[in-house]
Amino acid sequence: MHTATKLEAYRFGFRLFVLTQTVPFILIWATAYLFNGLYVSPRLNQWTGAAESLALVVSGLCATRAVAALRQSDGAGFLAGFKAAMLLGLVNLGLLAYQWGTRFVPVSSRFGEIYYILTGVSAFYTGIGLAAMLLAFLRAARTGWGPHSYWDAEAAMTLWNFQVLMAVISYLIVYWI
Amino acid sequence: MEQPVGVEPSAVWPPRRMMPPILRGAFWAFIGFVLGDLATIAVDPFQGHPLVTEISALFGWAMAVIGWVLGVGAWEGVVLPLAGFSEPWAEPTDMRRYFQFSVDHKVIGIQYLVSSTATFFIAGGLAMAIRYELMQPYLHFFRYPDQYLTAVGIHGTLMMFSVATVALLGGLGNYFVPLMIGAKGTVFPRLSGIGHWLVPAGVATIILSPLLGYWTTGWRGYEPLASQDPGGIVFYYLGVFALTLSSLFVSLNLTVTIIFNRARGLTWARLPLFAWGMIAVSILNLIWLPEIQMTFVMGLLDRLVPMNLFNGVGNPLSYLSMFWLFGHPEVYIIVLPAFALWNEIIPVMAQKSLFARSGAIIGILFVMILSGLVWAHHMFTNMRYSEMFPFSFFTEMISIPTGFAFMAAIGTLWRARFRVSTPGLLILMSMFNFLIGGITGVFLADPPINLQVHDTFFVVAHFHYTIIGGMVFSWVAAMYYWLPKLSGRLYSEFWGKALAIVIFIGFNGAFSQMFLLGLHGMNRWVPAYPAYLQPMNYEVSLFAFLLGLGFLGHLIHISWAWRSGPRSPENPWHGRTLEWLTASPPPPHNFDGEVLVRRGFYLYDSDQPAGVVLPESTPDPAR
Ligand code: HEM
Ligand SMILES: [Cu+2]
Repeated sequence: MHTATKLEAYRFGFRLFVLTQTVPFILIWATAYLFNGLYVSPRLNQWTGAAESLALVVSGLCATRAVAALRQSDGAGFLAGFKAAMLLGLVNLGLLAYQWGTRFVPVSSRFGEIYYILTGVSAFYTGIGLAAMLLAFLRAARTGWGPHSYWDAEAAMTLWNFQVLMAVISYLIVYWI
Repeated sequence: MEQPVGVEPSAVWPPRRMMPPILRGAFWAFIGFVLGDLATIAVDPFQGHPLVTEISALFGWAMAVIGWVLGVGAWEGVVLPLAGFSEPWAEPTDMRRYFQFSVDHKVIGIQYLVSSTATFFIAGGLAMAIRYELMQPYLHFFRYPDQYLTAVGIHGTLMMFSVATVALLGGLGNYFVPLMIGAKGTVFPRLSGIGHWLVPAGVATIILSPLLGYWTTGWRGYEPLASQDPGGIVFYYLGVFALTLSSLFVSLNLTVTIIFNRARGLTWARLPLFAWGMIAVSILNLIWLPEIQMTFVMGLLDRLVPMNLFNGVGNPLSYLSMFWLFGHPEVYIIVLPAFALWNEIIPVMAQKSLFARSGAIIGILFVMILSGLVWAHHMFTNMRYSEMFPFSFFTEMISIPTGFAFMAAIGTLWRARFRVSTPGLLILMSMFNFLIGGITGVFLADPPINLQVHDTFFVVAHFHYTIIGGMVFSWVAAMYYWLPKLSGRLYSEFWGKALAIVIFIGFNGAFSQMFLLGLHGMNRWVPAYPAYLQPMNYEVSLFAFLLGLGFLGHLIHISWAWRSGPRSPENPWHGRTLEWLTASPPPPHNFDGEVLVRRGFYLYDSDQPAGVVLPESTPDPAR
């Protein structure tokens, strides 16, 4: 197989994989609707939730721009972009950990169940996304990447943006509808 | 950052002596379990149970599986290269490569076949124990009802998730799909390579589940029973998680491989039926396996946190729906490859063009689509009449595209000079069995009948007719059909056919009477039953033992032929699909050249071969 086809196959396969990972989220969203309807707990702190999502959205933008930089042979720009993206991802997790720590709603209540499952699963994927970016980051830092070897970085970026999207939709479902 | 841009690392890991990978995997798994378990116990505020709790077992298990997969070779084969170190080991070329992480799709295929077969016999042993118990109407072999129910649950779970879902996809699919599409390999070989090693991990988890306590829910993990059982159900969730992850990886790899690695001239209109079957199954897997995985994660959280999602306070019926949303597609995940195999093997045995080829493919695709619309036919006893109708309707509609598979097969057989070889015979038997399984399924989809026979042995007979009768018979047929390709050797026609007849008699003798048992009031999930049912149960058990012996006979026969059968000619069946264009067993890169497909594989109107292998014209720089 030629390199171009190979890249195309990787890209397609990876996107297909990411697409399959929407299914678990859809299942939880459906459960949220089934169990809670449109109820939103008044004890939720809207500011924390908004800050969590904002951190992720900006992080996604950083990751996307980092890969664009790599395509332009800007290795340093790539590393900086991924570093920022990872830091913002950690900010998101930190805020969530803080919010979990406040125990503002009991785990076994109807709203609590969905809140903890949805944010927990989302945090799990955030962790995976961070690990993928870290691997790409370390490897690029060790070996130096150019415009011809950006597939791993692109994959990490795709996964990350997928997770940003899932987290934002989950945010809307937990905090708004 | 010191290194210049665009240079791959040059430092080769020093070759070193290491433990045999399986031993290292087991060792790392053990260490992983101990670490995960102790770390959890150390921070768990609710300790009090000695050393292993349900929660610590969860973290121990996760670390153990990671340790196992890394230990068998994913550390050197996946993690180090991903982190930027060059691959430090070369795969051995002798027998040892079957006992470690591999990226060769043929090695992976055989690993899957071996793991699946071994599990088939382990779970089959449990079936024999179940049937032995049921020879008497009271407990005499098992000590407690829960022990019996756990045995049934382990039997069903292993058979569904590590045999029926795995053997045709992970085993034959990994091995034959690349060959049949003229490819030199798969797109994501490491994914399938990891996938296989999740099978032994999942199987071990389920076999060891009674260590945490008996579980009585069966393969469906039914709620609210699951939330009341002692701890074994935790390992059920986790084991199934590992097994479904394995199938998910293979599905992803095979789908992308079929889309991108087809030989020149192999258009979609010419794609072999088996590849169509694999793609249909893979799509079902890609949609529904993540669904059941998340359901099980919720079940696990429900139990460990604890929450009230599915227990009496919550909604057990939501669990049932979530399970069967996956569960019904699962039955087609099992049987679609068998449909594909019928129409793969019949034209070859008949040396006659496949009848209505596109009909057969459309049938497969429509079954795939409809399978997501019928799940609630498993829950009729919990529904209003008005809710049953659409599910009943769509279930019965599935028989139409299913009929297409039969139509193609029968149309091809029509007036053909069919060679009744062992694989041919087994395929005919499989069609016969599946016909019975399918028709009784239509009965079951009819609410008045369903409400009568739900949860009786009628249902047990129905699904064994489809799964053993349909899928396992086709699997055995395919093993005989492809044995010359896998091993370069032939089996004995006499023993093949004799054993085929043995399993046919054993199977039909046992399971046809289960329909009657069910109609007479024999419930599922009971180790003790009214005495008037004993004579028939006794007989069923005798036939079941015959069936078990028959399968053992096939195993011995196939293993013997694989190693020391007579040498096979290059293309003993005069098959036209591409796997027959290369040596048997195939060389590492499958074909000594580039494959070019000229016409469809199922056309017997002329002697022109469907594909040729051209000498490599332009050496591909990417390889
Ligand atoms: C394609 C191959 C098939 C397989 C592998 C299969 C497998 C199964 C299994 C495993 C069960 C029992 C599940 C359990 O309770 O543990 C079952 C039940 C059922 N099957 Fe099938 N089946 C197949 C085809 C069909 C068809 C073609 C129909 C109808 C047209 C059908 C209708 C039903 C119904 C209605 C039940 C529920 C019975 C009850 O529990 O009351 N099945 N099947
Ligand atoms: Cu069903």
